[in-house]
Parts: sequence; structure tokens; C-alpha cells
Amino acid sequence: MTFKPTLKYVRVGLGCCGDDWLQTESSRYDLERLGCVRAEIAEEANLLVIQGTLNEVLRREVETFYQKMESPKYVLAVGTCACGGGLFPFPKMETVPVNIYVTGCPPRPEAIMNGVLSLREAQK
Amino acid sequence: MIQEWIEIGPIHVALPGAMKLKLGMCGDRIVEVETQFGFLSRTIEREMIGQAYPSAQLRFSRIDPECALILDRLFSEAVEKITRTPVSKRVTWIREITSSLNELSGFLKYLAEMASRLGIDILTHVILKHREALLDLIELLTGSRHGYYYIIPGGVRYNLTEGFQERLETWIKAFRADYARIGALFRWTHSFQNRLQSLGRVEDSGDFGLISATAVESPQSGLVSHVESRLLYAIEQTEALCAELCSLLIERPEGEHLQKIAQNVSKEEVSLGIETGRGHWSLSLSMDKDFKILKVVTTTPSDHIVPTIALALQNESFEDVPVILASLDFKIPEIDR
Repeated sequence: MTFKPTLKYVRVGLGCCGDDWLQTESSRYDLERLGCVRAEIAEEANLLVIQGTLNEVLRREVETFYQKMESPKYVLAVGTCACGGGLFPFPKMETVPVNIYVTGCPPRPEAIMNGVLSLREAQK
Repeated sequence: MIQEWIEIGPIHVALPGAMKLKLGMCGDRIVEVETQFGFLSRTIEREMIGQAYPSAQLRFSRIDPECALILDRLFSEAVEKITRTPVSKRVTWIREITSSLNELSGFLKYLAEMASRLGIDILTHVILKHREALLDLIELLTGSRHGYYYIIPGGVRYNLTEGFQERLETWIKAFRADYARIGALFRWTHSFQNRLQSLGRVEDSGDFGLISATAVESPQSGLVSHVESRLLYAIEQTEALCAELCSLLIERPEGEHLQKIAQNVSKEEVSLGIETGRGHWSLSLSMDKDFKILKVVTTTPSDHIVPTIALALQNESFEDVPVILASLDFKIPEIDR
């Protein structure tokens, strides 16, 4: 099953989810075959992947970053921290609507891939 | 003379995490460097105060999720020292195995990221393939890929599962078969031979408290660290850890894997350290009689590495910034804790 590379993502935040995202890019899972490739700058990206904890300072940066992205744009929240805070306080993001939530601490690569596939379904 | 300032971050692919890098440029050379952290600030140490030790430990292992097993071990040993709880030889043995696995996984991630920054994609995939199998082994033993809350005060949550040792030996054999290939693939690349030797130099790196993890001895001027030395050290370290695991697997001490924590809490503050390939971790901990945390202070390997960022980037070309930053191996969660 292959797709055209129409999801260009940029990752933000950090945590154990970032580690599992790296493994999802590896040859066993091969995220690229789902049409999900890395973008270098905000203007090129149409998928924002939020991983790990966000604090108030980073939330403002994320909102600015989201404004710069090309439309139509999507947001994937990966990990319990990004979905609802988890162990840490979580700021409310009003201007960044999340399309898909992938929970888990950290979510397995299969769960991340399922999130990307769900996003592809939502794109149709 | 600074001609212009360039700001990178806090969200950028060239950076190892959420941080801001301000570079004073003269042409394409970096003349001055300013760093700004705090974009993830989770105040973990402050949040732990007043909490009972099990919930404090959950937070402590999130200081750096990549070495959760090592951090859990450090925390558990500190609690055991405060409560004067002895552990069996088997527990120590299992903890040593899991710490080595955790460290190995960290070095493989470092190598994969370095390969990616140097543009050697095939090597990234070869390393990540081995790391994925290693994470499977950690999951088999601990129940999660990062091993959170496996090592707890009093022992470990589960004993070694059946067939774990055999699987680990198979993994070591498979990795060792590829080890020479990984080293050779790094050395054969054009960029490795021509660029890396003098890149990202940190003179007198011993003064910053950098141990051999990030520094090599130079006959001219004490300890000098550069991208190539750091990378070669990480490659060698993987083999050294495999050898350590092999020798550990020969002994099979018997004993209980978990026992109750003693109820007598010492009021003294306990300081413990653990030496890893990346550097020195230390923890000072004190608890009250209700097992609640009174004080916690941590120092991490990144504490020593951060002051060297500016030195490593000085006079280097703008295009080399991602490789130099990746080679220093500092972790943002450790800095923003």
C-alpha cells in the first residue's frame, strides 16, 4: 500500500514520543510509505506533530508556527502529554485545532501509524 | 566583526529539540553564539517535593525519557539507602543488565541521528533496525519500550522472563556481525574523511567536566574534543557495552527480585551518582518519615555539555551547525527539567 507524499510534517515538543516517532521512520515501519515526509520549514509543512509537553512559552511559538503553515493544515497530537497534559500542566490551545489524538506513554509505532492513516482518511 | 544575526528555533529540524539559537555571523562563519532554553520547562524537581516517593519517581524518570531505566535505578538506590533496605544480588544483576541495555539504546539513537545529519540514510536504517530489536527486548522484560517504573525501590517489578537471556545473546550476536560494517560505513563517507576531524572543536574540554564520553586526549593541548572523536567514541561504546552484557550474562545469581521497603526512614540527605557513557548523573534526595520528598537536586550530563555549545560552534560554517549540535549529545529534557 503506497500513497503520494502529501503529508509534510514538522515535529514540535520533546519526550519519549519523539523517540518512538524516530523508530516509526525506520525501515520496519517505514512512515514514508504512508505518504508522510519530513518538511524543513513551516511554509512547506501541512502537518504539525505535537509531541510531549507544551508549556506557555512553547504554546505561543506553536501558534505562530501553525499560522505560517500551508493550507489545508492538520495537527496530530502524539502521546498522553500532548493529548491532555499527562503528568504535567497543559495550556489550552485555542488557535491550533487538533485533528487526531494518539494516546499512550509513549504510543507504539503502530499507534502512530494508525493516527497517520486516520488523518489520511480524514483528508479524503 | 558581526555582519548579521541569525535566529533559529525554537521549532526547527536542525535543532535537537525546542531551543533557540542566535548566531552572530561574519559571512558564513559563526562569530558569536547565544542559546536560550526553557521552552519545555517542566519544573520536575519542584513538582516532586511533597510527593510520596512512588509518584515522585514517575516524574523523575521523565527528566530524560531515553535513559528512564538508569534514572529509575538511581532513584531506587537513593530510596533504598535512605530506608536502609538491602537488595539481593539478583536485583543488582538485573539492574546492571537493564542499565546497559538502556545505555546501548541511547548510543544507537545517537549514531542513527548522526548518520541522518551526515546524510548516510542507509546507515540510519541499519542502526534503527538493531535498535528496534533492542527496544523489543526491553519491552519483553519491562512491559514498555522505555522501561518506565520497572526498577522500583526494593527491587525490580518482574523477574527475568523465560528465554530473555537467549534472545539477548542472539541480539548481541546479530549486532556484532554488523558492528564492523557500521564503523566502516561511517569512515568511508567523504564527509567523515574530509570534514569531521577538525569540526566542532572544544579545546581543554576536561575543564568543563567533560569526561571521556565527549573528549579525547591530544598531545599538544590536553583534552580536545571534536565531532569525529565524539562519534568514534559512541561507536566504540556500543561494542564495549555488548562485551559488558556478555560477561554479565554468564553469572546468574539467585534470589528474590522484589522485597518490601523498610519502614525506618533516615533523616539524612543521601547523595548518589551513576557513571554512564554520556557522563555523570547525580541525585541528592531526602525524605520525611511519611516517605514524602523534602529535597531533590539532580545534575545531568547535559549540565556539563551546554557551556561547550558556543565553543564548538565558534568559527564554524553555518552549514555544519546541525552536525555539531547532534554530536554534542545534549538532551533538552535534561536541561529544561
